Amino acid sequence: MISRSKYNNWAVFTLVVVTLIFIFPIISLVIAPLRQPGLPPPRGVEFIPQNPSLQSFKDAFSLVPLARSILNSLLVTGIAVPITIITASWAGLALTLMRGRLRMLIIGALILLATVPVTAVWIPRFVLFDKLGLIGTYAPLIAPALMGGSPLFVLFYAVAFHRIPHEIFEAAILEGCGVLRLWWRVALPLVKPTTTAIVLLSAVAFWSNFIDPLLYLKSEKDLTAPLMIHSLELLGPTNWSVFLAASLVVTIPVIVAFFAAQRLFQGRERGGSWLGR
Amino acid sequence: MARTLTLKFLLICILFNLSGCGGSEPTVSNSAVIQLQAFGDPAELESYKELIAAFERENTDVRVELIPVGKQKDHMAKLTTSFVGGKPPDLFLINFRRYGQFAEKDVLEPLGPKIFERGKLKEDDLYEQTVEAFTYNGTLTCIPQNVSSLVVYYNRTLFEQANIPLPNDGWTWDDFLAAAKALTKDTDGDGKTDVYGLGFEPTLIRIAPFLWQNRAELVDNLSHPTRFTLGASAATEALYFIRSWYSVHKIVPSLVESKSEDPESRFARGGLGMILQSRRYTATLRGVPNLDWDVAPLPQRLQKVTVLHSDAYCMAKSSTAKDAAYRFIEFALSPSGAEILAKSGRTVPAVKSIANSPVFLDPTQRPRSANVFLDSISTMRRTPNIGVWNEIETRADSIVEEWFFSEFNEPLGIELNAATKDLFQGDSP
Repeated sequence: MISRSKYNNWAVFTLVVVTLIFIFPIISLVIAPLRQPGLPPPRGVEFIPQNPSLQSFKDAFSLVPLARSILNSLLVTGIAVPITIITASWAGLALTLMRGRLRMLIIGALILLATVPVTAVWIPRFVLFDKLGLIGTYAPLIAPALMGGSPLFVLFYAVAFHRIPHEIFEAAILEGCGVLRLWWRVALPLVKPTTTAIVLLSAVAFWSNFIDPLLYLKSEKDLTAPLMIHSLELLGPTNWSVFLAASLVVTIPVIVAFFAAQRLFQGRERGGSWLGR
Repeated sequence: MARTLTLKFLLICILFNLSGCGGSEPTVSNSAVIQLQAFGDPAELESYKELIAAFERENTDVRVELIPVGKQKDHMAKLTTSFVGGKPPDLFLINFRRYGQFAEKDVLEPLGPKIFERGKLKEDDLYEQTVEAFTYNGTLTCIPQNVSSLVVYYNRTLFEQANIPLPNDGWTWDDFLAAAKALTKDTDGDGKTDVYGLGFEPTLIRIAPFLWQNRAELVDNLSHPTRFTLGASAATEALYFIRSWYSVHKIVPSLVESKSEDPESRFARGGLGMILQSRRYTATLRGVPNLDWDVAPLPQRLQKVTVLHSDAYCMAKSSTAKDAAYRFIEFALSPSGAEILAKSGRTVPAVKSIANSPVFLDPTQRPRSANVFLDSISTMRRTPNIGVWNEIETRADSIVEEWFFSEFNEPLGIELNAATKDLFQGDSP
């Protein structure tokens, strides 16, 4: 019992230390934009800025079409994430229902795919989307969602579905349940924490995607938020508060989404035990 | 089941019909559309939008789409991908150190002969140093837009406090070093230097002018370089002078100090007496309150030399709207077009008449000695413009930085040649 409470103390202590390390950059991200633009950046972290002002936020929105770019990012993320969930869970379920060597082969291929660096497929993807006439549209940004977003998401779902007793799927099929119904009514509701995690991970990936919008988008009105942040960075060291103001605005949705999903994370995946086995 | 399938179908339809937010803009019939890819900070890109609007007012049959990119690195990534993918922009701006890789692949329309034949622009209108830099295999390939040189930005207040003469035209390496030493101070007496005399980015392009000032050469042949020539005694002497700033005199911040606070920020807050920078830095400093600064030419030794920085308009050979693109370049370099960009203050116009006009030499704007940028032009030299130069420079820069801050004086030339041999050999015919 004593050792357990000691363990708990250590766990709390470690958590506090780790939290402090990670919260520090977030605190400085919140404070730094309050510095007036035009001033040279402070040496080190300035916890209380002199003459704090919101001018940097105003500048960030007036120097570049930041509001529009955030809407564009929301549109891309809003469309891509549901598609990712659908395709990744379909593929994951297919892998779970599959048997034998083919399954191992596909899992191996997925792991292999996850190791391919993005830069290696820049040109082939560009040529492909050019041939399809989709350069300058959001389709190339959303297209990865049609393939599960990332091989890793498919694997996550495959692992989550694998933990559900196979008998449940078999029983559902015997009851005349079709594949799509099996997926929607039986499989997906059992892996809600996994879905939450993939929603968050894919949302962050699409929200912060820099290279695809850079390569495929052309017109300024279509650009997404990460590109705007990059262009504000060029204002130079005396305007870092403007750059950080935009960064903060673009980071807030991610932080809000993460905290909103906390409760769903804490739920337990219903493994075999929920049937009382 | 049917509902799900309809939903799927709908989703795919939405996905492939999304052509940007707000849809594509209506095109005027019989009008040509050209794309211009430019890089720069938001204020600079704003000038391009103004330029485009002015052009479109005069040329109602042409529409120019600006493809704005922030950083030059991202600009290069987008350009190379679109060229390899077969969909380059009609026009783009590029630095002379980077256009070689496109010129050597023969994907650029050689603009020189044709644009002068059209009659609106004359070769004499442009500074010859930039025209020469964008001449590839004897043909002027891209049309220079700006010409900037490396100058010394200095903090007047610190000079006056140290009671040393302000930098002037004709000052020497000795004057420069003496000033930097006098400016380096521990103001609070804690044993740590608070103000450094000089801010310096140890890169190839920054060390080059000091080599030339001592009549040394950076490479063996400017048009067809095969190796760095930093072993000659004049080069060794210049390199020793540069290295001594840190290793002997400690007049520049250490590597750790430079990484924790970049020289540009340090100068802006008054922590540096001098900094070597190009014209672009002027825009940043104009916004800094309570900083009394000005510019001076680089110090000289055996000869007066600085290094060229220049960007130009290049046209993709595959462009289908070449006539409209030519018209845009002509407009951008005409007095009314060039003035719009000159007003941003970020670059020195490549058109002589605009560079010498009050639009650029605006007496109400800092720096007071804006003519330093123009006077330096006649003393400019450049680095090679071969296809692999961008890659050579990228590899060389990390070696130069290590050499500059290292405790041991490694032979820089040998190291650079070893690291770039394959690139030089791959380029030689």
